[in-house]
Amino acid sequence: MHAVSIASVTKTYGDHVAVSDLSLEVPAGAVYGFIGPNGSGKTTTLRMILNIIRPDTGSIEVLGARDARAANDRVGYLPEERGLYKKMKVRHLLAYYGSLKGVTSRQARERGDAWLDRFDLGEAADRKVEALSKGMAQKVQFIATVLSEPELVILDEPFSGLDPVNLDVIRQAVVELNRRGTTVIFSTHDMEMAEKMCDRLFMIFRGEKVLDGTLDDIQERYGTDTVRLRVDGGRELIEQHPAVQRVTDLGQYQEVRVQGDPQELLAALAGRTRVSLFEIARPSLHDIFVRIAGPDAERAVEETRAADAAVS
Amino acid sequence: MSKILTVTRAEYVKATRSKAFVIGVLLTPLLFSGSIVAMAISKKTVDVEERRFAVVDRTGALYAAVEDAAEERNATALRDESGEKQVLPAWVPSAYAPDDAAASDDDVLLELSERVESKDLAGFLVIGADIVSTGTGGDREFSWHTKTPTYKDLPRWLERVVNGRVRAERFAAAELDEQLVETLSREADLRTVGLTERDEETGEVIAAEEESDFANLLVPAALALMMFMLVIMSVPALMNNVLEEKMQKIAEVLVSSVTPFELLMGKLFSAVCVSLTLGVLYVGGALLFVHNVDDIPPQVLDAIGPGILAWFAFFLLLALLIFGSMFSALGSACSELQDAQTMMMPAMILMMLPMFFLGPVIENPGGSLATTLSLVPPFTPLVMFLRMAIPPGVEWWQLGLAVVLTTGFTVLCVMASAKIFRIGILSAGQTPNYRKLVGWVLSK
Repeated sequence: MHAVSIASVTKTYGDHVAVSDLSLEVPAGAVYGFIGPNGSGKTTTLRMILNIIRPDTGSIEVLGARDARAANDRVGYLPEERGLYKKMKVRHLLAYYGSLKGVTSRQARERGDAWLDRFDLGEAADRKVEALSKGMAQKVQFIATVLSEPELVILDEPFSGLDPVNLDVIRQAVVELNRRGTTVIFSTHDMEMAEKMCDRLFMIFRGEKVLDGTLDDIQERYGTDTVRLRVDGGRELIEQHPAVQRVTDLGQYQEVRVQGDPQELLAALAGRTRVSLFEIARPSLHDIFVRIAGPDAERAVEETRAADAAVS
Repeated sequence: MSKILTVTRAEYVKATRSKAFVIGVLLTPLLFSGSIVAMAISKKTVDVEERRFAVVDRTGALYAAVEDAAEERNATALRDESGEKQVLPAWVPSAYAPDDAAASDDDVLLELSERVESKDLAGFLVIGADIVSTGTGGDREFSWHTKTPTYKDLPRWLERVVNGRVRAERFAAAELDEQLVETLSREADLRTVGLTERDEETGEVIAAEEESDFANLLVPAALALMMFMLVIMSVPALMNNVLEEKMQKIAEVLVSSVTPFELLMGKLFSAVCVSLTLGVLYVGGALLFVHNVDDIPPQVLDAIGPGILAWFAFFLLLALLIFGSMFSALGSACSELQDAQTMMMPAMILMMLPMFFLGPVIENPGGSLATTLSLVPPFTPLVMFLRMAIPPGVEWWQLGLAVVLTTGFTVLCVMASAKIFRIGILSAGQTPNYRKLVGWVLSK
């Protein structure tokens, strides 16, 4: 059973292809992470799942409903930029947003109060939104998203701009929702958060799907060519070795991509300096992201384009 | 449909619970009645400082008449009815006699002008030597010289007094009895009345009623003005409301729950409800007023009958849907307040245009200008309503045609606006121009 099935979907704006021939299936009950650089088509994809915009071609099925908006009352959405009426009182706002999803005002009040208490916002219920701090407003927006007890929640950058305390509170809430059976799709730029929280990951780059699978699958695919190293003499010494393709200085240690046998690199380094850390690691999601969408990748894309242009 | 009503309800509550609404409801009639009261008060508190003026009487015979008339007026006409309070300024004339008998006319004018300049005089009157003669030649000068030409009471009075005296002298010279001439040339007053009818049941003839300008012109004009006010009070607000939701990204939350069309319709219905609420309050207030004031002629009550009020509501509804959808669409297309103001101008002019023709339409409601305007859909609500409300009303086929045309136009307007709204509400970046908006309307 899939919460969302996207089949061969393309969406263009004028000449710009926002999403190109995308297929994706989000299993029910999963926590699915959407990653990708800014402007690569994440928000467009999320909006298409929400039926806010329609794809040019292809089809999207949400919670078993193919009809344009049939499933919308069962989906909760937290947009990237917060959208709250500044002049409304928190309680009225929750009641209104809830009523748009078919929640009665009594339900809205009960559920809203429970959530507000849980987020330590009980006193804010009768305050106007404009009087809330940024963190508080974000929590209110989150409550508005889940008030209708949706089967699927779509969170666009839910953690951006939150301090660690608020971040933990919302993350905990998301985990709990998922435990109770809610399917969660969220987009983030925080790779560590994605690694920790997501069952499955989807990466979109320039409108195309470049990653899709569990973290294990993905890391497996990007192999065991990553070594974590700490040596006296630091980065310069490591870079001199011909098998080293790329060094990422993480401060405490260097993350190194090696071509060939890492053992040879260890032997060579051990002969020249003291090695205090040597660990063959799987590449972090961060590293994989940069490999796909970093400056090198940009250059490769440009070159391919230039070559295509020359051929045609 | 239930979602449209949810939006309508929320928007209506939001609009009517705001302080601005309550203040607006109370303030608008207050402003109106306040300005009437203010005018009445300002009329009563006229300047009663005496007005001194000189008369250069070259006939040598008319000054006495001016002096006598001023004296009589100062003695009898300055106080209010109770005789306690002075409400008009006294006139204090003086005959001008030059110090130097040989002074030229120019010297006289210069000297008197200086005295006016130094506020010694309010002005001076020059009466030519041959003004009494019935010929056309000679010195027929008759002029009022002043620094305050907008103050008309005094020159008008002088004109009347001097002419009265001149006329009397001419009658005397012709040996005619002025009283008799006036009686013989008295005009009959023309009375404007409606048509005589026969009561179908009793067969009695019902005498024509005296027509009241108040009922025939003022009531329709006031209702039309109110319709315009109700539209202009709610429609630009609708645009701001849409723009605010878009700029603060509320729109994105809303359209993840309701379709843009449901959102737009909810907003429009809410605007209609708010306007009707205001209309009921104002018209109800006006009806209460005319029912409780004895001086109001009975025709006025007939002029604000249920029929005309139903048409008022109908045309108001169409106007709100036409301009409300137009302004909502414009608001959805803009990303900044400044752009919105620029975009709004043409629509605003379209909305206000019929107001500029209110005068000609009232004067000649059956004329070709009024008829044409009343059949152009964006203008129909206001102009056709006005034409209907002024006797004798309009021919049924014109009304029918206008209703069909305007209803059709309203549907088109809402549909086109819904398309712009759907694209615009989520668009970012540069505000499109009108040509691009047309493109959006025509897109699939």
